[in-house]
Amino acid sequence: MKKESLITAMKNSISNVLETMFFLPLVFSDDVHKKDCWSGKTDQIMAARLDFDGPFSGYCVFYIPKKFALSMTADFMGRDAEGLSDAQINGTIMEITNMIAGNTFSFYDEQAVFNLNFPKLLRTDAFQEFFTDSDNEIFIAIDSLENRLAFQLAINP
Amino acid sequence: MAYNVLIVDDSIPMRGIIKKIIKASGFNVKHFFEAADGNEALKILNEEWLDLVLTDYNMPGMNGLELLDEIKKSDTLKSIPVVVITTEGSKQRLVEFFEKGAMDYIKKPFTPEEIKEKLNLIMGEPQYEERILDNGDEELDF
Repeated sequence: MKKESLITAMKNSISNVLETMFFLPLVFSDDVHKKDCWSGKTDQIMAARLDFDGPFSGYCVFYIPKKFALSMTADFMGRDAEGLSDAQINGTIMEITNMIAGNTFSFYDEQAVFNLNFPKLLRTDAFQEFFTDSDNEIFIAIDSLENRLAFQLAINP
Repeated sequence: MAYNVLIVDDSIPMRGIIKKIIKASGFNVKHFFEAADGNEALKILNEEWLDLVLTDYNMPGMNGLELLDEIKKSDTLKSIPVVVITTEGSKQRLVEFFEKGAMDYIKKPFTPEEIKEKLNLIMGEPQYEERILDNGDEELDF
């Protein structure tokens, strides 16, 4: 597994998904450490995890502030935020996770077949359990419209 | 002429956005049917007259490839054009879709222009027009 190639693939995928389907301007914040990612902010963070296997196995997690998830879902579905159900918001977050993960592997190696499991929402009080100091983990912080999102990919040892 | 379109995706927002894009593309839809997985889709396929199936690949229960397999095994359903919508872009997987009988695939994320282009391409397929004629739908003007 080539880590630099994987980071490039992750960034390409994040841009592709969030710019193409959600029309979001993005900046990658490479100097932000995951443990400081939301320090000083009071927003509730939502997260979805997707496990994968293939030439290597592991999991991806997509993190997003709940308020931003609400406005993204409303824009995505062309509806008012007030009328959205939890299922619609959760569905959007899981779909983004699925798209970013799937496209990451396509950008990384289009010859390889990776099997993606179904995304699952993480408990909001538990997502930091997925932060490790492992070298096998890549964490990318993303700034968009004054919101901090993140995408993480961890490879099983 | 207007078409009955079945959208199969476990994601409620994605079904919504596909519907919205198809409507915006000017594609003439008589009725949208929706299913959350392959099993639900088969039930609808066996009860309704469908002109086009757009199915996600990665779904719980019966996935898009298994659904495609079931459709192509059925004498009554096999001529319905199926387009697979997927986040996965490995060449091997895409070859598998075509080998199983998919008419085309759409890669997520997609733009409205891509959806419109694919649907126009599919509706222009001679094989598809023949199927409509064979079924004697008098409302369709070929």
